[in-house]
Amino acid sequence: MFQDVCGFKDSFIQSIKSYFLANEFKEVQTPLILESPLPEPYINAIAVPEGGFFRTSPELHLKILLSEGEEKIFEIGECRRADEKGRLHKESFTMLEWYKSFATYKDLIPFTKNMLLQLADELFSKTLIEYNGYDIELDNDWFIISVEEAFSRFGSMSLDSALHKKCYEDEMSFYIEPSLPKDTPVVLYDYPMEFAALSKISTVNSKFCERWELYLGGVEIANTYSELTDLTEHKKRFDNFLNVRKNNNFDDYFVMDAFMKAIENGIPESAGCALGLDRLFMIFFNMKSIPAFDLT
Amino acid sequence: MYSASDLRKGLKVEIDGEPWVIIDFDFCKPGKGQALYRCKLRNMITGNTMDKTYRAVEKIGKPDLSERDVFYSYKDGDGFVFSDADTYEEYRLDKGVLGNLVYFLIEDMNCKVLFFNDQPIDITIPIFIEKVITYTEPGARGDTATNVTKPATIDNGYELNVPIFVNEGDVIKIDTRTGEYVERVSKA
Repeated sequence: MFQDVCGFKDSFIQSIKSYFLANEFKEVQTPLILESPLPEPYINAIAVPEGGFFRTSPELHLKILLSEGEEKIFEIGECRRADEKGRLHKESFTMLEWYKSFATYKDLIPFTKNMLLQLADELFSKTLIEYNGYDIELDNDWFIISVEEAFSRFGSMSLDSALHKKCYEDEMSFYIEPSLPKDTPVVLYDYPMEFAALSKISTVNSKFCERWELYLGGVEIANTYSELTDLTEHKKRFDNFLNVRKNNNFDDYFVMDAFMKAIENGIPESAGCALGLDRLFMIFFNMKSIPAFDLT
Repeated sequence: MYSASDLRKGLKVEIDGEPWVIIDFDFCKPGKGQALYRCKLRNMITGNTMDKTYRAVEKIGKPDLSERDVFYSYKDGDGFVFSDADTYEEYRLDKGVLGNLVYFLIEDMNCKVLFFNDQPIDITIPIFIEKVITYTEPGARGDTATNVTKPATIDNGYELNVPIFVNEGDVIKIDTRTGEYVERVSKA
């Protein structure tokens, strides 16, 4: 049956905001345009003709706010990434990103679960989502599995071999993700350091980082870290990222001074999560691809 | 050369010296990893299909393809000769390229020929053509069921199924994409 889902976008966004506000998070708006984007290895920014780049996420400025003493903040806003187009990608999309100080990555799992439960309850008066032929019960025990275990259970090779053969992405996209349970939310946690981005090194095993991703109906929805706070490790990561970018002939970025100063001044131990609202909307409203319209 | 980010459904690329068309395309990018451009391709000469995954750094060949307006001139042994609509240059297409379309060629018919490195590899002919039935058994009188068909032959020996009411000498319309009867145009 045809349904004009666009009409639900305001209540969708409003429900998410009200969850954060009720949990005493402060809503912020940080700049859309940066001097230089976060130099992640495989995320390319779109240059602004007048100078600078559209942000690929609000991460840099939100962490600057953490260094200035904010402890619970969230932002809902536009981000842009070059050359990302497909059923699950568009160049301009809406990100929800939040940070909670004095928390670790795993603390954000129940927090995220409660957000989704409230959202589903407010929109549909139930916690069961029908998406792509599956019934996803958000209130089930979530399926929580380490990346290493997911590779040994669902992959065609171990995580170590995939990293060694440089086919981690192929394994993840073509074996792991399609095999994940679809009737319950899935959390993959503890990613290999090669894909740590700006997350903390695991205190349990230094091959891994404190990072998890949430999947709904087999679709990657959110990415969470225990945030890296150490200055020396930041410099090391950025050197490495910029090297990877150079080797791939990607645009040369630099790290914004204001960001390095913020890390130098110190940010509290925090956990942060970035969630793709277009994908969440697609799943909640059982759409074939992310909405063509903007959510904000 | 194309970059991986140019890839999309319908794009024609060159791989190992052969032209391929992307018939299915998916962009994947597992969190913080490299982008994967997953393609299902069909060989434009053999029709074979294969899956191939590209990464952002890869370059993909651009095939030298051109389409020219031609009209059908005459049959020459096992080949079929078409003339360029602008220059009247003659191009000879083998039976293999034409397949079943050889039965639907009509003199002076306007067609489009696709060339890869100046070799003709594909042809597009009009979707509907008209042909005269040269042989068919008479339909049984009183049999008016519309879904009952019988075999019939056209001038060049091509056989197809037609409704029972179609007779020898009738002109019918044929869909060249399927090779099937569409409708009767005129009675004998």
